[in-house]
Formats: sequence, structure tokens, C-alpha cells
Amino acid sequence: MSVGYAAAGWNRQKKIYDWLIVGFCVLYLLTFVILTASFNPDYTFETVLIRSTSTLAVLLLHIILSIGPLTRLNKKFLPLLYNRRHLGVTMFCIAAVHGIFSMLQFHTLGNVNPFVSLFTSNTNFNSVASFPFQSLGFFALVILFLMAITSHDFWLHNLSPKVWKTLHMFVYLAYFLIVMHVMLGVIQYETHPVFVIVISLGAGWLIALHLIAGTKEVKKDNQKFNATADDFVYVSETSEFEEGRAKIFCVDKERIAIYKHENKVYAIHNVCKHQGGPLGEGKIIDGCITCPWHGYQYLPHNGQSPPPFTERVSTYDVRVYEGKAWLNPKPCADGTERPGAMIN
Amino acid sequence: MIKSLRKRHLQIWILSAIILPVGITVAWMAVPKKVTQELLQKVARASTYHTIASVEKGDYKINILAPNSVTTEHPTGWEYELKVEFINKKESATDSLLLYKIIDLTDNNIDKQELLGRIKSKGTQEFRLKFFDLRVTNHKFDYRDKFLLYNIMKKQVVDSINFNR
Repeated sequence: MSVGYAAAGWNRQKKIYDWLIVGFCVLYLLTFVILTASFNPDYTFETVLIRSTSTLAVLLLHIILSIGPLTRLNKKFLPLLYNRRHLGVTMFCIAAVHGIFSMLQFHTLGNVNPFVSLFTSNTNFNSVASFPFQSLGFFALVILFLMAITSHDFWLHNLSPKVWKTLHMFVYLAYFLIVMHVMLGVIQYETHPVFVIVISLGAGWLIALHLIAGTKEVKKDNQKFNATADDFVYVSETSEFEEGRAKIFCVDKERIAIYKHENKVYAIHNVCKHQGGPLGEGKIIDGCITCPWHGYQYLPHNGQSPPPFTERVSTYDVRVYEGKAWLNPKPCADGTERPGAMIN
Repeated sequence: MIKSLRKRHLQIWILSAIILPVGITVAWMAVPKKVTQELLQKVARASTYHTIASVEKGDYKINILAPNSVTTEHPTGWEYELKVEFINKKESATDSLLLYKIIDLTDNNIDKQELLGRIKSKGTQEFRLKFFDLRVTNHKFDYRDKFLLYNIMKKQVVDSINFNR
């Protein structure tokens, strides 16, 4: 979190993750090159580079798309979510190397503009086996490029969170284009079934993971709460709260996070003002509720970011009676101070 | 995430659960069946063309194919339509290779030679020959052209193929 814009929001944790990402990518590429040199010594450097970067980019994309639902299923994966943006930009850079070298290799040897060659060298749009698969990869790369260059808070604030999030949801279209780029490209001549099995397992894993996590969220959203005469609803036993952590309840179509902090419970709106991150899935660090996505912080008793930051979220009234927590789902104005409720 | 966004994510993945398997299956079923194709190629070729010259190297073989019947009769003789058949035995070992027919033996400039085409991965490729050095005596073919395999990325001649023995 910063007052102004910095080139990238690095801290010690992010630096460690970034080094792990770089180490993994270098290790993967080296392994690929060494194995290829051992088993297929006739392959040219360009071919090895194109193939190694393509497989690495696809692998990273699968990891990136797995992180969101994994964190919803198990909080242990939250640190991965915290650094997902850097992983995404890394994946784009590797995919770009694949794209650039493919263009050099296949479309710069003639006297036709490489981009014209890309779209005119194969126009078999009515054939599945000979479909111009390279154009699918090109469009996927364009989407990844737009996502990569806007992966900064500057763009989030200037495009607005809604536009920014919509743009970044195009990653699912990019994923579909990449799967079809692989299936209509390399699979058509590398006919060993292992390639189809691997790409099918990857797609199956992502589909299953997202559907399981999505269904779990729907169940949470559809949970029924009965209001009392003074509009409070019973939500949970206080013994179920963990110090410094929250439980999330969806009341009247709004998600509310109830945090336990220093023997009191506080309720705030679950959606982070930065990028819509789930505040209830974070934890209290230095006395502040900390968003698991990008570390934005809010004070539990008033939903305000500590000075000099200005973000504010809604707060809610909460009561504790005979070991039971009760919540008033009517939101107070953003940043309104609420005293919380003493547990004992 | 707000509820509408969660809902949109779920809808996208329900849609993906349908279109991704369909796309993968359709693409997989469209993969050309190699064995069947080779058989068809051989049968089709055998009915119209036959090999008049052949050179075999480690990873590849080059055949010169002539039609079983001549195509055009000119006052000066018969005109043949010859083809070069390049059989690459190794998988994708030659991504950057171009096949040239030598026009001028004395000129080292590759651009002065006739580019026939790019050698693709493992399999058989055919290139039509516009001009060639073929002598036919008593129904015996004497084919004399020379070819070059050129690595365009490394800018160097990889191999030369000589039919003039």
C-alpha cells in the first residue's frame, strides 16, 4: 500500500516469491533444454526456445488460474494469491518470448509483413485439422499483454475497479484460446496421446476446481438468517471465532466479515475498496484487518484505512449475548466508528 | 469479491465446462491418422508417378518422381512434369531447413539458386520442378540435378545432394 504510485509494490515477502518464480522458470527452461539436447540433439535452438517457453507459459497459466479457487477452498494458499499479479506478468513475458520467436521463425523469412503473413499464410478456417491456430495464440497474447500492462494500481484507479476487473476476466477467454491454439496446432502433428492427456487433465483440473469453489460460495451466499424484532440476526457462537481472523456471513445479499480482535468482535463489509478482495479471508496484522489480495488495511472499529490512506468500508453493529454473536445487517456509512462487542 | 462477480465467475466456468471438453474432443478427433494417409499417398502416387532417381542420407531420402505417362508431346520431344519427393525420417529435426535446386554451381550466393520450399517435420513432402536436367535414352532416365539443404537460421549449407553419378 502506498500513497503515490511506485513501479511495483515490492516488499520482503514479494521479493522472496519473485525469486522463487524466477528460480522455477530458469530451472524449468534449463531442464527442458538439457532433456531436448539429450534426446533430440537435432532440434534447433529456436525450436527448443519456442517449445520450452510455450509449455512453461501454459503451466504457469494453470497455476495462476488455480490460485483463486484454491484460496477459497483452503486459506493456506492465500500467500500465493498475494503474489499472483507478479506471476501473471511473468507468464505473459514467457508467452511473449514464445510468440516473438514463433513469428521470427515462421513469418519473417519471406518478403511479406510478418503480421500479414500470420493471418494470410493459412486461411483454412473451415478445416479443423488445418485451422490457422497461430491466430488464436496471437489473440490470446494480445489479451495477456493488455492484462500485463494494466497490472498496476495506476490502471486500477484510472480505469475504475469495474472496468479493470472486466478486462482481467478476459483471462478466461485467453485460456480457451490457448487450449485451442495447442489442440489445433502442436497436437495435430505431435500425435502422441500424452499431449492430449496433459492438456485435458489441466482443463479438467481447472474446471473442477472452479466449479467446486463456486458451488461452495453459492451455498455460503444462500445461507438463511432469521432476524429478530430489532433487526439483529443470529450468526454464530462466539467460541467459533479465532483471534485475529474472521468468519464471513452473507446476510441480505451482502457479505459481512466478523473479526475477533482483542476479545471483541467487529463487523465490516467483506469487500476491499482496492480491488474487491475478500477482507474476511485476511487476518489482523498490526491491529489492522489486512486484505489477503494486496495487503490493503482497515481498522476493525471504524473500517478506515490508517492515515495517510483514505479507503473506507462499511461497518455494522454487532452484539454478543450468552455466547452468541448477533449482527445487524443494515450497514453504517463507510468509515463509521462502531464499538464492537465484548465477548466475555 | 462482490456477489455479482462471484456469480459471473461461476457462470463462466459452467460454460467452460461445456465448451472446453467439446473443443478438445473435436480437435483431437480431427488429428490426421498418419498410417491411413501414408497408405493413401503411396497408392495414389504409385498409380501416377514412379521414382526415376533416388538418394538416401541418414535422416532423409530424396526421390525424383516422374509421371507414368508423359504429359505433353512437343515437336522437340516429350515434356515431363517432375517432382521432388523429400522424405524426412526424423521428427521436427529440420525446422529451419530450406531445399534449393542448384542453378549456378559457380555462385555461392544462395539467393541465386532456385528455392523449392521449406522442409517441415517428419513426413513426406513434394515439390514440383519447373526446370530440370533429365536425359532419356532408350527409356532409361539419367537425372543430373544437384540440390542443397540450407539452414536459414544459421545461414549455412547443411548438406548437398547430387544426382549426377
